[in-house]
Amino acid sequence: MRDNENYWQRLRRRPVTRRSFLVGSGVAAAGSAAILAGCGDDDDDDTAAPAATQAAAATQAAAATEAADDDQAAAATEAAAATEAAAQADPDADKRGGTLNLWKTEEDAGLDPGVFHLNNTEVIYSTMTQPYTYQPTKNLIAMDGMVGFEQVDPTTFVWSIRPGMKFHNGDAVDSEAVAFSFGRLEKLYRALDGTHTTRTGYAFVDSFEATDELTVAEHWARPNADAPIYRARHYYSFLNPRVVEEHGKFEGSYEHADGTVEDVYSVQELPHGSGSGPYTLTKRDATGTRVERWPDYHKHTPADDGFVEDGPYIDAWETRVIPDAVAAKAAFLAGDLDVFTTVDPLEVPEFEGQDHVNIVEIPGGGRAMQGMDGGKFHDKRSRQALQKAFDYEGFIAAIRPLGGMYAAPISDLLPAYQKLSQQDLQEWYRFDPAEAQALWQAADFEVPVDNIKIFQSTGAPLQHEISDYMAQSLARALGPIGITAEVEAVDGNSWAARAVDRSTDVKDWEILSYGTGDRGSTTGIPNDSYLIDYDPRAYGFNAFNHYLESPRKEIAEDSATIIDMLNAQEAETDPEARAALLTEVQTWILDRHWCNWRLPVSSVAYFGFSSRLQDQGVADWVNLYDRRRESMWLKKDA
Amino acid sequence: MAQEQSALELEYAIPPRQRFNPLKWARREPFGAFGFALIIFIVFMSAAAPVLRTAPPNEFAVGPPLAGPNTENWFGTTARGKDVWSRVLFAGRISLKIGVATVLLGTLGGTLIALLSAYAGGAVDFAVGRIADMFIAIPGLLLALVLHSSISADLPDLPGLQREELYLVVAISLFFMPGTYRIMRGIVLELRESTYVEAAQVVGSSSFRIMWRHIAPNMFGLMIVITSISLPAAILAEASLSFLGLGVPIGGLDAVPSWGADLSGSSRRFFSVAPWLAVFPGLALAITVFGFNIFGDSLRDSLDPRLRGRI
Repeated sequence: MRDNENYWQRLRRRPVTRRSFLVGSGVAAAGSAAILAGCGDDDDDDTAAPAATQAAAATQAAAATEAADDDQAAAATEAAAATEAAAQADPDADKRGGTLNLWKTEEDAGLDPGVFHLNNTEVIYSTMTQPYTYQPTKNLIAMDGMVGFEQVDPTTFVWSIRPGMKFHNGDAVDSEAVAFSFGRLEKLYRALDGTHTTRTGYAFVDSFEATDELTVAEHWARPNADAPIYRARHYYSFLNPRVVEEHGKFEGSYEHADGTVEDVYSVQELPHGSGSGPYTLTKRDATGTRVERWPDYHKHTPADDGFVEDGPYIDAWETRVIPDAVAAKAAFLAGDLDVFTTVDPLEVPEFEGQDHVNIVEIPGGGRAMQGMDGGKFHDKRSRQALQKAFDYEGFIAAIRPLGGMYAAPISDLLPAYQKLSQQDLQEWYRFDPAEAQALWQAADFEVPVDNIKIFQSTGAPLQHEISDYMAQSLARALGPIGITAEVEAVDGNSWAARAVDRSTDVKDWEILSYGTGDRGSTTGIPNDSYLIDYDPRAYGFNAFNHYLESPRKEIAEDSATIIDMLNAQEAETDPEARAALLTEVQTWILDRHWCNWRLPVSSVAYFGFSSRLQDQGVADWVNLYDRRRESMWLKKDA
Repeated sequence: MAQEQSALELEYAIPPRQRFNPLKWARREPFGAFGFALIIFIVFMSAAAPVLRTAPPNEFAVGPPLAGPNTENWFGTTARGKDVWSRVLFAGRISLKIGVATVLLGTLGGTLIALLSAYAGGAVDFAVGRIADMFIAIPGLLLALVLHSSISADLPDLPGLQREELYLVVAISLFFMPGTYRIMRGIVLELRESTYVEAAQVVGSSSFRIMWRHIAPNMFGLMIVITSISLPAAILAEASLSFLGLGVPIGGLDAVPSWGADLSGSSRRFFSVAPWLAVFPGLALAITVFGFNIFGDSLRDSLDPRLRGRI
């Protein structure tokens, strides 16, 4: 290249340079993209096709009219009359039909109602029958597979099965099938060495007995105040024994009290004929599930709240697996989904501007838990130090800018049981860095802790913000005495595995962070909301090293105390007396800074529904029971 | 005789070394100069971040949630009230740090392996070549995911490079190293057969001396070119991995903002109501990558005569 040659001269001299080629290609690509974007896809034109169809229909109708003779006209009149009569016979005809479009973040890990209960509820509640549904906000039971019951004495419960019910393969639903379905829960639990953390839902039952064809008697080992509500849980589904026998997978053996041994089987694939619900499973793969109306569904008389005498209005439910909530939001806003359950309060204005979207405010609450490793934080003062090192007011301002509230061990969604006021709670949740430092330095640590690792899963984006805030707050408060804090985030499966890893006395994290507390849910049972997180026989044991057999003396002693308290409240059937016992349990947990602590939660939450979805039972949708709601229907013109 | 000697000297005289004139280069390669200016700008902004910031980058609630650009928060705020301007400034540090560390490791590693294996030839060269083929066959993202779940927890904290950052460097370097090896191997094979290498062998130079004194210096120009071209790709790879949640630490006082991480996570759901959350980190990322790309492009033109101005 000559010295006096510059870049522009070189460009002029060479007819095709690399850059000019690239620029030309870029312009051509951009032009092509613009042309393609401008052309659009005519297939999506939702007015052209119907217009054409209508025009064609009108033409045909005109031709038919011209060609019709008097007989044809008479026939047409008769047909119209018949249609009108049919419409009068079924006044709900306009409610029938359509496909409900749902989503979930992951594929299910199995459909057996007695084993797993993650990502499968839409299938279990739609294809199976439970004794009844329960709506916590209304404290309302609506009969499904059960039609009547009698509490014979504090430990005997007798109830009747709805007559005329059939499984999808035609087998009759009788008391033998129901007793088998419920009796296998404990056996599965034993065979699999734990299938439900919430075993408390059936652990109090001695036996389920079929006394006649449609009557089941339950004999309980001890009274249980939540027993009626547990009957609405998905694991109390009626399962066909013949299908389990023919298609079940051997899971292990169960030894009865008399020494006899019984083989236990699961039906994770839920073969045809397993259930007796209004829908049958027609698709299940990595992309999602589909259930379709079962034509032989029994007559549901009388139809309690949420049920319809002649079966559900909606023809099918399509549930898509969409791992990313942002993608699901886009699908919902595009009208491809009927329900979007994770609306951030800051997003509400965006949703409200959409014609086809119905945003509903629901009570807040929810779970934003910080579990502490009892292997390290065995001294109460160390746990108290952590809780004093957290800036609650700052957290509410940063994470709950549109409204936050302090959270008790029991959810505020159970006002009959959660009696602690916000003022009460603030006495325990008080940010005091100086006291936190003093408590930390006074505390006994069998395993020294210099760095607090907050361990979370990468699942929910808001979880990152919560853990980040937690780490910053703890590092600022305890930093002056040399304590640091960090966040570790891993995928959900790794997180769960390390959360419950009990290979050593201590966890490889200090705080297990879970739950974003941005929307409330409750099944109506205090154990589920959220005593289970403090229970030394449940998460306290497998996740947080707070358990009866702990090598740390203080933890073992406190475990015995809280187990007694939990048992006592569970057996108390008088609501007021039980509320008092539950207040004692909560106070004890807060005084002892036991096991877990709940961060402030959103005081409001929002759900998004498509405007075509009607009678969805808004307030209880979050509890999943209403997925059994047969009275939901889809407006045709919305 | 003297006349013959001076003619001979004239014929074999080594031309005087031309001094590099930046202005002249800038005039000849204006795009490259512009790219270099962008790089300097980004480096300056990142280096001066502690001075230029308007708030600590990780501090919550320094402004109202989702506030648009204003006099207090120049690039607006996030849903949790973090200052976007300060985050964009600090995020440049991690991008440059990971980018430079990755490219250094990947380029130097690939070059060294190419030098050793190609010079040795035979079975060694064949084996190394097949290993490189194997790595090239694995999709980069998949490799990064596998490494994250297999080695990330076991990596140590190094001075100036935390465990998570080291993982990023290793994961991205392993992606670039085989490509660098492939290119450099060809050069070594060519240089190995050159007359001056033969001459060095004849006079009894050791293999190490030949590689170090005669072959390596001739690879240097191409190495710079590969570095400048790989750097933007490495920065994008860091952003992609951070976008997937596999990047730098996400929480605590020492957490480092990353453009890729800020373009993902909880921010994404607010992009339509708060576009500044996407625009500013995205713009910073685009400017950095663009700067390195056109600078590297021009550098390649300048250092490789075969590519000057041709397709």
